[in-house]
Amino acid sequence: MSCKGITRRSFLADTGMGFTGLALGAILHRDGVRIRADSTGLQSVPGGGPHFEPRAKSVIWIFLCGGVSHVESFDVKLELTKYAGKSIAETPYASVLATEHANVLGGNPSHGNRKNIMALQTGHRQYGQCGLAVGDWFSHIGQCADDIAAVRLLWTIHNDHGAQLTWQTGRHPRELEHPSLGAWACYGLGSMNENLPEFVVLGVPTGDCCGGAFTYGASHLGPEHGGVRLNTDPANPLPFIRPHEAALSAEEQASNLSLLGKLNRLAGIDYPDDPQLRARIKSYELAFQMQTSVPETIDLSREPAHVRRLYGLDGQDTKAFAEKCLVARRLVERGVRFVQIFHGGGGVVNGMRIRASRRITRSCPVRWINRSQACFRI
Amino acid sequence: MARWIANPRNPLTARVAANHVWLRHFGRGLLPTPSDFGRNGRLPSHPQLLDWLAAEFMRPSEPAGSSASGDDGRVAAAGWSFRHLHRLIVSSAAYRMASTPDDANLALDPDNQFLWRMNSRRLEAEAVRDNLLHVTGMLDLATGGPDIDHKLALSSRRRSIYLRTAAEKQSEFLQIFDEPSVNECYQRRPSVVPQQALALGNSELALKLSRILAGRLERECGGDQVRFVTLAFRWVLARQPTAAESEACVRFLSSPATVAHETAGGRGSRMIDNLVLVLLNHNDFVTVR
Repeated sequence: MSCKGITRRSFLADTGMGFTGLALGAILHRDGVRIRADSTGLQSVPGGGPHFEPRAKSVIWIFLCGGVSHVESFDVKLELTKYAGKSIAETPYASVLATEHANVLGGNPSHGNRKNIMALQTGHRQYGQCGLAVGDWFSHIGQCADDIAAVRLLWTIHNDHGAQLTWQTGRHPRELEHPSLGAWACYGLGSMNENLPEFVVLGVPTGDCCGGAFTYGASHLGPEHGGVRLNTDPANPLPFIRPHEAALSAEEQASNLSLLGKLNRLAGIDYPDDPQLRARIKSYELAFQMQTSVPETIDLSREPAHVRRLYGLDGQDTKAFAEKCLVARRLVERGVRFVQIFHGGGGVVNGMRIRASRRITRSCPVRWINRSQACFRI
Repeated sequence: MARWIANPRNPLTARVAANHVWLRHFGRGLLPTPSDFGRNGRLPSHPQLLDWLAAEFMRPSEPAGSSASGDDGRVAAAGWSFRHLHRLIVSSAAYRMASTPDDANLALDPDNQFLWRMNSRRLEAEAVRDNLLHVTGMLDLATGGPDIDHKLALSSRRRSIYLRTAAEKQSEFLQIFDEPSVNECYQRRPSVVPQQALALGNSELALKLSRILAGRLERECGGDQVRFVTLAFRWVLARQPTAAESEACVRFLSSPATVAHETAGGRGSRMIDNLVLVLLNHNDFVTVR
């Protein structure tokens, strides 16, 4: 394989686990299949399609930083209430305290070293024909239980924030930087548009601690596949979006860009394997387009009133999340492959918990699902 | 505790320091987890080299060929001298290598684990801004003084190190080039995003400086376009243009866009301003090979 300095060994390790396996089909498929020449002319990127007809073109991945516990949302565990106040050793599950699980079950000193079981903090109900048990904080979402796939087979070896990285790269923070799911999707499936980044990040990403710095990177797939952060504030859509004091006309910008592309390619002849250079050439072409495409995309003022209502754009509690969700929708409508939303932040504690979950549930997801045809399919 | 930390029998302190200095010169530490030398960290790629650098840092050996003063006038450095550590690293054969690829080595060691070439690196955020000012002859090299409001990053000529950086008080320009978190900076994580292209192509700083340099070079070259291109390459990219580069630039300077813009009037840029601006946006401007 001659792609971007990836060795066969690291390639196999990368695709063998976690979400990264999702792009495997597309990547394996391209061996011996059509290789699309990239617009930079310096490289071949995977251009073959996946081995089955995909039903989805884009992904909107909503990551709720410090979100509500799974046991109080979609994975209700009544045993917790039954054994509340007891230590794990006093329950029939004492065997999980065996040494190999110590890292997961040990009390965290900075969180008070608690080791006793806490009762569920909310009630629950079963919803829909499937009988999905959902915590009462998510009663809005419960009403569309039959349209939801709740995945309950995930587990982690972290007792703390480290799992945020496993979500995005399938890796432990100890393993450092690896491509995130969005980077894999874009690398494997290619870009669908030339005006916007293929992988957009909305909201404030996870903090640097515990692997959080690597949650939207592309690592060895090359910086061109990394997530690009965008603001959702129409008043400040993109820093330096216009030439200062209109010093350059659009024609001049285009002619400058054309010379720059020529010079960068001439200089790149000696460094055909440099992913930074490839990414920079691409980023300039994209930046030029983004001067017009980004303001248009994040301008929500022309969305009809019923859509604004639907997303909760005018509610004080729901506005911040609604903006991200509606912008995400507009991005995928314009051909963005992967939109990563980060929302919230810090641990969700006590009183905050209920308010936070209301903010989320009264905002978009439930309504999207109810009206999936009116909105979009993801 | 201070004695424990600096005790010669405690190699950890010097190892951590040597790894940090190496990381900043090579873009990657000998130990890839600079913040963790413990059980959660990785193992060093060159353990003996790291130990040797740590030992040299604590207790430098005499310069070769002389007892007190070498032929080059250098004297033995005092212990714990960062200057000595930097000098050792930047005068090494490994550091002085070019980053040019080599097919045979690339096949054997694509990640350059064994340092068969230099890693090419992007300039740090502060150096991108300083370099803009420097190549256009505008950098104020004064040292010291009070910090400067971060909002002045695009108008001040002072070095970036004097700009205030605190939570909510970081220059947007520097942030776009991955200025580190104000809380910690073990390792920079350079990205390549379109926002960087806009910052170098559209900002007041880049536009103003490109005009200043173009004006100066114009006076120097006396209307000779080839000479203008050569000078601009030397000033901005610190190298001569190749024949193909020079030809592309000369053709650009005499392209019809010049006429179109001049007739439009206003405070627009001229083609020579645009050429300098293009070179300030060249990949080589922000890349160390």
